[in-house]
Amino acid sequence: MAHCDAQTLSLIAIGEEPSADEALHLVTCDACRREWESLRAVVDVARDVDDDELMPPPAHVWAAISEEIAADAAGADAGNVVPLRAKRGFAPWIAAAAAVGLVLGGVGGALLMRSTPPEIVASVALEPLADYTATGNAALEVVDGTEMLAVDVTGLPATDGYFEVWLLAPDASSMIALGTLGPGETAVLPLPAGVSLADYPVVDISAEPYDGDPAHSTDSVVRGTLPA
Amino acid sequence: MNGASIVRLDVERMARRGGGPIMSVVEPLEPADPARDADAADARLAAAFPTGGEPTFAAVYDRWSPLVYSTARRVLLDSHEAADVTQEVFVSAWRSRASFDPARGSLPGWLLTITRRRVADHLERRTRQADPTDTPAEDSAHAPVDEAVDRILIADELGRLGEPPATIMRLAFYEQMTHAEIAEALQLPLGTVKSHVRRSLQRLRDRWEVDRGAL
Repeated sequence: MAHCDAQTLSLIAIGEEPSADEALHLVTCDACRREWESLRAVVDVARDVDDDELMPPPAHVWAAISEEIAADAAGADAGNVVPLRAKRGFAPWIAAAAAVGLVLGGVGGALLMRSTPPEIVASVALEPLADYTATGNAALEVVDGTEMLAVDVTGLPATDGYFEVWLLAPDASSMIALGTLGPGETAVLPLPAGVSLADYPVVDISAEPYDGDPAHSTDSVVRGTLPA
Repeated sequence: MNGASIVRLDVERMARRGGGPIMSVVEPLEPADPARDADAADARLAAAFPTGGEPTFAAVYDRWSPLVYSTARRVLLDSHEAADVTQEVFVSAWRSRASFDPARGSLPGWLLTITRRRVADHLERRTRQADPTDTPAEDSAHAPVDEAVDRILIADELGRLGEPPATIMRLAFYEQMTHAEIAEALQLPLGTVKSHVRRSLQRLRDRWEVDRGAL
């Protein structure tokens, strides 16, 4: 018979009964048998997966990591051989900056910790709106020539929906949806080419219900205006 | 999603009735694919990682630390040690991030390679601390790292299939339902269920091969 199609092989892999012809074909055709076996291997592993297989690490792990990488930056700069004609105050400035970064964390920390010339074009603190208490940072970074907006917030309210990241015109008369916030309250989202920060300088994060309506819910949680 | 399914249902019905070409029905080639959007987001994150700052690194941590932590936990059977391994892996990843080349391999594969080394270090330390007169540990209580990585990668991908594929695959995997039973239970056309089973299974296999290929 002809080769088994991909759908048939998938159904046999999840345990459905092959027809007599299909069973015979699988015995005789190496290509189909290999395809079936590779799908079957996935099914075997998947059936073995426990409900709690995938767990996030406890929260203190990230705190320990941020501390260690901030200490790295301070240590590396303090340990540098100081050139004879060093710019005065350079090393202490970096060390102080790194220490501030350690306290501020987030975008400010990353900006100050950078040893290479900053690729951050602009950054801003995000302030809560209305009754919300969430805060955060947003930074416009250039990665391989692509402008990306990195956001990092904490203290978002509980929601049945999700959070969307927007760029708004100063008077909020027009806006661009950049994407959704990840589960860790962070996101790195590419800016559409041709979008100018001069036109859309306001970073806005909104609480959105799962209503299929692509428009802004008007329920903004935090906001900040990127400097020109 | 519902829209796509309904359209397909109509097309199947009309086909069964022997209707002619249905010019007025716009049938999407494929139903919406949330997993593909998630892949694109992962790829952007991996591309930004080598030169990105701390917010990018934080996003990488949010996305992939459960894989690292869960792999270590499954092998070491100790959540404190697994937390230590996670810290070591991500500090090391931050320090060597410039050496990660998105063109050469997947970021989770790269992180899991570091995880394997750290887990091996921890196992070795245990053996050294154990009574030297003990026979070398067979480690029968510890799942081999490869097996742990396989399960964790599949668990991660299962969580990213979106709906309805995730529900369809759950019923196929854990309730051992046939595609006909699933179609009946979810009120979906047979063809839609078959297509989801094929696409999801192929996707799980392909992602699995990419991410473990770096090991």
